[in-house]
Amino acid sequence: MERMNELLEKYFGGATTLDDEKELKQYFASANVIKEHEPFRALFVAFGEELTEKAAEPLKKVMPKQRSIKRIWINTFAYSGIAATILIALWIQRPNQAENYAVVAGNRIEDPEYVQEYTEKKLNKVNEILHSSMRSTKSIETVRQSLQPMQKIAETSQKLEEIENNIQFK
Amino acid sequence: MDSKQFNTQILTLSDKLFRLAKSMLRNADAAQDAVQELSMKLWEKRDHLDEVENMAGFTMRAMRNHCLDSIRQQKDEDELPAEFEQKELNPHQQTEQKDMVERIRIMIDNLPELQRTIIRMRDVEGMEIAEIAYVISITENAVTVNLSRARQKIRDKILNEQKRVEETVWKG
Repeated sequence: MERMNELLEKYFGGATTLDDEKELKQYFASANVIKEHEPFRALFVAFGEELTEKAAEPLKKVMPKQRSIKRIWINTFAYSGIAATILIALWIQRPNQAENYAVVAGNRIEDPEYVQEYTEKKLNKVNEILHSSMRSTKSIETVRQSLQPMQKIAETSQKLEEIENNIQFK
Repeated sequence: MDSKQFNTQILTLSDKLFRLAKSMLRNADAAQDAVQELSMKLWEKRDHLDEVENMAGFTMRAMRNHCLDSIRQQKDEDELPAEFEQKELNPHQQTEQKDMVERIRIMIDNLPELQRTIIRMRDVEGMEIAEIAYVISITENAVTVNLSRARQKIRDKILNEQKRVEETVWKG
């Protein structure tokens, strides 16, 4: 027991080696612990029990899985971006087919002379409509001008009333 | 570092990291969260982990720093969870509490953070003094001094407890 007394003194003084501490743990795990040392048995039992505590959730499965989901999202965004860029580039670079045909009343017309003639015809019609609109504008102007004398009569009448009032006052 | 190396070198430490976090935070759920958060951080920086020589020591040190940040944050918020409070057994519990092992755990939990971390690294995890010094970033001498103080405090408490029990028996 001298040895164990010595080891315990060293232990509480922080001077034991790992081997010394292993010896102490074995001693306190045995049935040879003397009454004097009995109070310290629970100390070494507590250390042994704490060593068996484990993390509740195993990390091994969680970590790579979480990362792989993140990776999938990153890859999805990256590939979507690349695909969108390619589509935009193709759209910009596309051949200008609009010069070769026109759609008239839902029909595809590839004869440029016919298209030109059709367009001129339609433009002339637009021109006629504009002229007729201008004519109606001229009529409005004529009416407005014809009403101007009426306005002068009203003004003259108002002046006459003023003169009349002045005369009565005097 | 690829996922296979990560699993081998770091995730195998998860139980050890959990025990360290639990000792520091004194809360199993908070410890579990801390381990998960640290693992995520390390995974994100896995490309730089190849340069680390002592992976176990490096990871333990990172865990300790992570826990210290959590403790500081809790102090700033002034909202300590119940398990952070000092656990003292009331007379009724002392009479009822038959399990000396549990009482010793509480004694250790009531030690200052540095001392309880060191005593558990040494007596539970069986770490070398030099390794503990590296993880905690203090000198080996400081580790030995704190380890000695922690053990002496526990010894005094055990002896006082023993004395109280004997007195109770005599009076009874």
